[in-house]
Amino acid sequence: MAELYKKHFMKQKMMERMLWALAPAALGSVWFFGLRALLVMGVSVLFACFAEWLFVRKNGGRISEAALVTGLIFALSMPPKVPLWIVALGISFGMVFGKMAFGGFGTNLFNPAIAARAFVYISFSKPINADWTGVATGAFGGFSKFLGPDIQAVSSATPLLAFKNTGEVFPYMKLILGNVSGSMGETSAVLILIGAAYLIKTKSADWRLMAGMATGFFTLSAILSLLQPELVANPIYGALSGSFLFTMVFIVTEPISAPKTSKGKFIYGMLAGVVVVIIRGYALFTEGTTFAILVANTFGPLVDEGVRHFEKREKKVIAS
Amino acid sequence: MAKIKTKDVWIMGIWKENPVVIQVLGICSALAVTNRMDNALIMGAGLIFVTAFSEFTVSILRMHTPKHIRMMVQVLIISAFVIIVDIYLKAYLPNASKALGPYVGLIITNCIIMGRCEVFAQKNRPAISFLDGIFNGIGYTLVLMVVAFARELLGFGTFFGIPVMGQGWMNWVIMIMPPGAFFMLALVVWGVNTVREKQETSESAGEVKAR
Repeated sequence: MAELYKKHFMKQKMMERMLWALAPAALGSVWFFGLRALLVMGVSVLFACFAEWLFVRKNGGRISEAALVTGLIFALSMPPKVPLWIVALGISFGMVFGKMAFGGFGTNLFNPAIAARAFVYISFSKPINADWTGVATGAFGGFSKFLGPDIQAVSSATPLLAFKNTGEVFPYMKLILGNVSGSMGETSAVLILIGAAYLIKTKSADWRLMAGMATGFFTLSAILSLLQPELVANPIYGALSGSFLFTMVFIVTEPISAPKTSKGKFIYGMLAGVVVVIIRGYALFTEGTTFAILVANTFGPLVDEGVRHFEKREKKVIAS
Repeated sequence: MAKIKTKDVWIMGIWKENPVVIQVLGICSALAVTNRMDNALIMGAGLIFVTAFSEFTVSILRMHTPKHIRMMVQVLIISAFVIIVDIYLKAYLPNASKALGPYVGLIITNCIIMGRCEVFAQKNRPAISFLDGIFNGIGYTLVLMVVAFARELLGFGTFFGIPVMGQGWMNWVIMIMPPGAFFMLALVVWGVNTVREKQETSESAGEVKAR
């Protein structure tokens, strides 16, 4: 087994650390929503590797461990009850069009997990946006169940939907611990922040990206929630509900699609954070993180270009 | 100039120099009208008609058109035929005419027609120009049909409006929207070019062996 793994996978230390950082959220998803979460993750990772293998096999290349991370992130951004064929299709699409079509690991313009998520989010709106699963209860949580109970009241199923449709607010303690319904990995703030702490401590993810996204998000939603409290949730509630934290820690920090200059990273993060607030408050979609990342990805190289341009000019001014 | 054979004309138009996949012309309409197969078919038929007759007319007039105003003459000729198609659709296929909307009128801006008139009809005899128009139109239509087949099948679960995917089918909404067209067209171009590359390498390998 280990031999086989060595033969087909590149060793990438950073990606391994990323997997460890995702572990708490992944275990949490099993505890909250049942053993089916493992099945979804398995299918997603399997198809991510398979899609990459199809492209690298000709030149005898090996699959990057980034494919494992992409598969896991995509699985954790799906609702627990998602049909497995949608998972397989989505991740294959994301890997082929988001990554391999651009030249594979290291050259992708968009985050493949987010490309995959945008594809299924737009295509299959009912199973992704309207079939939510409640939290499993009992002494062993989800570890003794296949799937948590169904939720009938779709309009107030998740913290974001409830706020948008009824103005109802979930208790903060529940949001921090994560026993609310939502996508598999996004519900628990604590587990995600454990991952974040690990990533920052091992320097596997750049804190500037996270800080940038948090700044953009908190500033804009603080202003807008004072002006239009019925449309935009207050920053704390907004950050704890939906996939904001998950995106901030695991997705915006993906090093390849993010800018390379340190000022650029901050601007890029802020752009993503600002777009999340705007889409959540004023668009038809309840959750805006997916599109925010796509927008930020699009402008990432341009931000880098701009920062380099201005830094060069400053140097010239100082020199003269 | 060497005489062009009929066989070359259809191989060029449909496969070797397919206007959409190889020359990447006429993409706008290929993206816009491929959400349903009947739309794509009517659009393709319109284009075949316009290209064939425009090339024919341009070729007849090629000796009498002053070089510096030839483009204007070509546009006039093309627009005359486009208007005929438009009026015909409005009269006999009003539903299709509505579904296609402005894209019938926009056939005039389709680069394929202008390109063929300029490249082919200006230099060749009327009969072969007419054939060239037909086969380039068919090449365009074939690509459109493939893209539309996949988009309609996945997006609506139907084939020419007939449901074929059964009860449990879930529509892929993205396929009906413009992004779906981009992805499908890209896939078709990708696929065709891969096949062509293989064909060409095997052909050149064969030549080396023959020597």
